[in-house]
Amino acid sequence: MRLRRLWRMWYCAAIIAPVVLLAACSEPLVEPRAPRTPTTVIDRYNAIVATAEAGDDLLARARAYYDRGNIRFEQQDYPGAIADYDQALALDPSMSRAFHNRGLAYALLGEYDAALRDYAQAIRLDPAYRRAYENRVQLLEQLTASSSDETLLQQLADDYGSLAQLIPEAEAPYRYRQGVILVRLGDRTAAREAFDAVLRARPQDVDALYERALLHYSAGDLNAALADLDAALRLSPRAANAYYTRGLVRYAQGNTRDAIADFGQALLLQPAYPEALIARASAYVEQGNRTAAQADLQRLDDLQLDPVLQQAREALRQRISAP
Amino acid sequence: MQRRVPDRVRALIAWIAGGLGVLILGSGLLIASSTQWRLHLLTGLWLISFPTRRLLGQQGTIADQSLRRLMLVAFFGFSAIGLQLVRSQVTQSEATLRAVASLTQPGAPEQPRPIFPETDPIERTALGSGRVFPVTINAGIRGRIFDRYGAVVAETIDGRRTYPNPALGHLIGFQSRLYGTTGLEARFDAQLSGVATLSPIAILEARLLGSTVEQVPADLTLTLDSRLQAAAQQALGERAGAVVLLDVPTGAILAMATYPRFDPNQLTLPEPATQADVDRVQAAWAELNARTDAPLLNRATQGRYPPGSVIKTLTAAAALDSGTLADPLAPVTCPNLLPTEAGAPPVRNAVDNLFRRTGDPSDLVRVYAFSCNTAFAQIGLSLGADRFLDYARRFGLQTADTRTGTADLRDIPATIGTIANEASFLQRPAALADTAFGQGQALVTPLDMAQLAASIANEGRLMRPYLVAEARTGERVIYQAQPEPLRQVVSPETARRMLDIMRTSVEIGYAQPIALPGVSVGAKTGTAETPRGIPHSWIIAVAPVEQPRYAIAVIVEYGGEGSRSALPVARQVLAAALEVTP
Repeated sequence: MRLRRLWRMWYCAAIIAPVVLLAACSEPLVEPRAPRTPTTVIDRYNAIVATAEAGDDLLARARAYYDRGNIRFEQQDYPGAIADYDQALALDPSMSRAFHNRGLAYALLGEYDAALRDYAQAIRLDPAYRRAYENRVQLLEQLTASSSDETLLQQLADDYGSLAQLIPEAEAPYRYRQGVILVRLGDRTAAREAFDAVLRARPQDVDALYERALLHYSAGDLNAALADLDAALRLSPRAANAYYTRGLVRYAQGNTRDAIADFGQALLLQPAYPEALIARASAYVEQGNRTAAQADLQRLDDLQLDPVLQQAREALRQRISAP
Repeated sequence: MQRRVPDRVRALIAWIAGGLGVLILGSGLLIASSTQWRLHLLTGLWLISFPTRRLLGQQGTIADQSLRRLMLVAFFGFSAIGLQLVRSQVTQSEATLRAVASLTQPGAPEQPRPIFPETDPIERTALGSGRVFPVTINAGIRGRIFDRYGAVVAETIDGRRTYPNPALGHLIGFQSRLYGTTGLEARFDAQLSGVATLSPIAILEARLLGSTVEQVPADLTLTLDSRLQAAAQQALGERAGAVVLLDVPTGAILAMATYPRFDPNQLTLPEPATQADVDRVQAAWAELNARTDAPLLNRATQGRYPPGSVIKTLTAAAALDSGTLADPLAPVTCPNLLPTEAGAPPVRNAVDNLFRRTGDPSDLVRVYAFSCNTAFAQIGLSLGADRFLDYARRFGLQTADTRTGTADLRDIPATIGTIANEASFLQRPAALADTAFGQGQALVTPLDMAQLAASIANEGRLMRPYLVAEARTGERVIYQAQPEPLRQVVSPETARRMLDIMRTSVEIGYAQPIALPGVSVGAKTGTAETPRGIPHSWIIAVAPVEQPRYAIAVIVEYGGEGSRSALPVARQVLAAALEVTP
């Protein structure tokens, strides 16, 4: 009997143990973390460079500098890495990776022009060099976030296009980004082609549908804009800005009643939506319903508006109070 | 007796439990939540253990059985941990990939997969890039202001607002970068700047699509006649006071002069402006504000004066319209003194024995012509306070304590005239008698009195006065003033009778000097007492009486009797308007 009791205790403990062990595994088993490079490693690479320097093989010497540059890069010694890449490229100017890595080091040091020059050289040497494109895109996105330099924007649009070709499975997102940048550049025809490409690859891409609708609207093709917005709203029925934009399109078509319904839906989804309030109040004025327009204007007076929307609000106020 | 479940049934249950366990374990692999997955894992393995235990059997010694059970526990324990590790490897593959081959790790041979986070479209609350375009609104050059015949009275030259006729500052106002915008410039700023033409939807579209926004400034055309305005200014000269000339059928303001005045040009800055320019404007502004004669005040619409005898026009019209006096020839007396109430001084006429001029008994026509205070005091008392106040309100005068609404004139700042400080004041007989002939607490603007004369001349209809005829952008009219009748203050019959009375006042009474050759003029002079002793000089007039076109009111501050200072001014302006040589 004692043996049987002992066995039961052991049996229970054996069941509980994996349960406790499994509970302890709740944290992610793999954490993304920067790879570690022991500082002593550099000594080994110094020795390799010294050996290569003693030899006659220029390419081997270039390779040694390149490898040591990479280690210095890992150790975040970017000036040291750049110096090694310089040496490597002096010995072998066809090293596209050395150009790329030096560009990345320059970018991390904030020397963006030098970084862009090196990325361009890397891509010239290896037109299918995906990582060079990706890192250049990353830098260009950063640079164009707060500036509208057309050269940089055009480069960014071109890079998105190249990446869309290089990575077929990511064609849709890259083409979409290309289209957005082309709109910023004012190249609406090319932007339209980009969004068309997105929708060929992914017909239910709601962002591309919305952006293409804006292009149709801008071109005066209101029916096409309405069709794209209808499609987008079927897939994303909670997208307030799509209702707002469809309201504007319907207003432009002279369909004030449905426009008011769309602005109302946008406001239902997003009550503090100043653009929709201004648009709905304008539509009310158009209908002759000044009381409703005045109510929207009062709601607008309670919102913080940027200078452009303030102007729109004052223009609306004029409309409402006009004799 | 204990019932045992047959072995075949127990085997079936064990195998069903095992199958169920496999299903639970398998479905757990599809679950994102780690907690739920672990629950599935343990439950699944426990269920799978039933058929496994049956397979291992019950035979052998206790030691054999214990060893088998121990192996079973160890097997399932390691299976659980193993499955957990495999699942983690799969679910954390992206993180592993990023750690092994990050974008910023040079030399790593692996190419990272682009990671584009995707949200279920149905969950999306906004679509697109969320980009908004910067909106620039081309403001254009501020609109010009013309008089009724197209003469420029305000324009922008090289970025500086310029006023070719500096005597119109009290009407046009100014647009100063230092001191803001006043007068017509302020009231019609939306039209002049073009904001009135701005479409809110166009701004929203520009923000969304990057399209352009047009803001088209409008030009204003005034009702003002520069020729008559010049005549009014010249006639008034450099005496403090005001002149208002109205177009009777429409209420349009044809001339509106005031003195002292200011030159709005001295308050505007050139573009670009130097510090010296700023200093100059600041000095001019300081000087204008330091002056005691209030040059920034438009006396025509904001100056409030006691009306003197011109108010007798209101009293007479009220008496005839209400039936208090059956007709203009109904008998009225003009005694030298009229006691009103105990303790109050009696009403006196300006001159003794006035009844010798008016006749005794007299009538409304003659007591009006010779401005008999005692007669109008009696008429006021006959009307009674309530009826008198009612007629005052019809003519646009209120009581100060209940003053509400806005002045009839909307185009520039204007003050509402008052007949008394409070309605109860008129309940006292002495106060009512005084107010009825032009003393008391009444304070009116020259525009009020011009409207009084104009409503008599316009068959008893009071029109809204206005100064801006239209605003247009090129060929498009964006604002058009329409003559607006405000109310019928007295009947057309009463108005016709009053016109005759006013004409007779010119033919036989104190207003005689205003007569113009070939034109019949109706008028009433006024002499308003002031604390300083020297009275304000008033006149109101209409012409031609047969078909009135012009109504005028003039005040000359401290100008003495109405016939002495104000009358010649009105005569000169009417002569200019009627194009007759005085």
